[in-house]
Amino acid sequence: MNEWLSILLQSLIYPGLLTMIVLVIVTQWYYRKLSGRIQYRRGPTYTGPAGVLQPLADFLKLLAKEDVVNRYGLKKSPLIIAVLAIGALIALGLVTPLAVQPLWAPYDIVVIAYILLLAPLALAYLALSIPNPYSSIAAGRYLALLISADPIYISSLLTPVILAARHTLVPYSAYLTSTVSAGLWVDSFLSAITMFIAAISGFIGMMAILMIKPFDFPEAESELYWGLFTELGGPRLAMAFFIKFIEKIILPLFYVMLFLGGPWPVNPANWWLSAIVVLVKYFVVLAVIAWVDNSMPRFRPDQGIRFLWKYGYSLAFLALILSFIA
Amino acid sequence: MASLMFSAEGFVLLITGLTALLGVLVYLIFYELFQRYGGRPVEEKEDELKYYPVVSGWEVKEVQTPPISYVIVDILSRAWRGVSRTLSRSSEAFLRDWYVYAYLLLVVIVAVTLVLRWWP
Repeated sequence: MNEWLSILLQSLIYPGLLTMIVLVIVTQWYYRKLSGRIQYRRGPTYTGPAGVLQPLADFLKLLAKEDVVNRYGLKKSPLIIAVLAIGALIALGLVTPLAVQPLWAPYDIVVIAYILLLAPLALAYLALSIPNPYSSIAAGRYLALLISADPIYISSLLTPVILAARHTLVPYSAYLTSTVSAGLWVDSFLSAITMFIAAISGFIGMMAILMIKPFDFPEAESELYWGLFTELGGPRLAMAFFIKFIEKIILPLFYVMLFLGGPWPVNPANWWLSAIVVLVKYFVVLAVIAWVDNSMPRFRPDQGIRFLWKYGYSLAFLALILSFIA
Repeated sequence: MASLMFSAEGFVLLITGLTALLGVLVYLIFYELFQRYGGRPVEEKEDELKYYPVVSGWEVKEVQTPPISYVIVDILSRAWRGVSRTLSRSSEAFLRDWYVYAYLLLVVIVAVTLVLRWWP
């Protein structure tokens, strides 16, 4: 009984729904402030202390608008898919070291890989739900990007999980791998090389899924009006942003868990210290992502796809093969 | 605090259940609640144009969108020009050849023979 109550409280309060909303606000403020500084702007300043409540104000403004869908658009199904994707991403917070009692199961990484795919598909569905030439082209670009980037990210995540299973007999679980992932860097020379290659390919895959420059051609502001988001407005745009922003929390969190040592150097049994360490590492990764996002030009779609297949795939599969040898 | 271990099947059910629960909550809080009590109409008076896409002041009665699969294939073929050229040439040459159709016919005859047990 206590276990189920704990799971319910975790999913609703910490690190579930309530915490994710707070994290979305804080991370968006942090990202926009960093972007502002890199571009010699001040970033948000007006709402709340140092503008920290600006993302919340933007979100509430969109939610409070009337939901208008033109007569060719789909009404309910995009909303259902979108909220399920948001729910899935929030539920994944419970398998990270942020949770008070993290959930795990043998081979849970397979379930996580499937669930991580829900969010991008929901974004594509939302974009296609209201017909428009620009959003259709953007959705096509996005799906081409996903075909290329998702296997790279997932096979990169699998590398440390396989290494941990072979070396420390951890049964292919994301959370348990995070408790030993720091050791994989120093286990042997081959293991360290494998982790290094997988970390690079994982970062490339993650940037592509998150549509960070130079892989932002599905969004392609000013080139395709607003790409995937062209026809969205009001609460539908708020949902699309919600998915995108939670994705920007969950994907880097898994990167931190599996490549940057998770809660290391603190004891994973101490949940609040683990959570603080993981969050600090996450904010460092987010700063790197913001820096790359603001420093790179945009690839053409074919250039981006070619780059992913040429470098991302080769590195990810090399790491995967090495993980079986190491 | 200790972590909570589940069987693989239990984990799938749990995550699916949590996804549904959190999805319903997000829908109720961020859509229904705001639309019911906070949603403001875009315009005071209803007009027909509100539900049409409008480009340059004109309503669009027929929205034309490019097929998604065409966009994906186009991007992939541009990314791998050499490979796609070779593939399209060889596949076109192969499909144009009447041998292919004869071969397909033969495969169908063999399959039907096997299914209907047309042998002595």
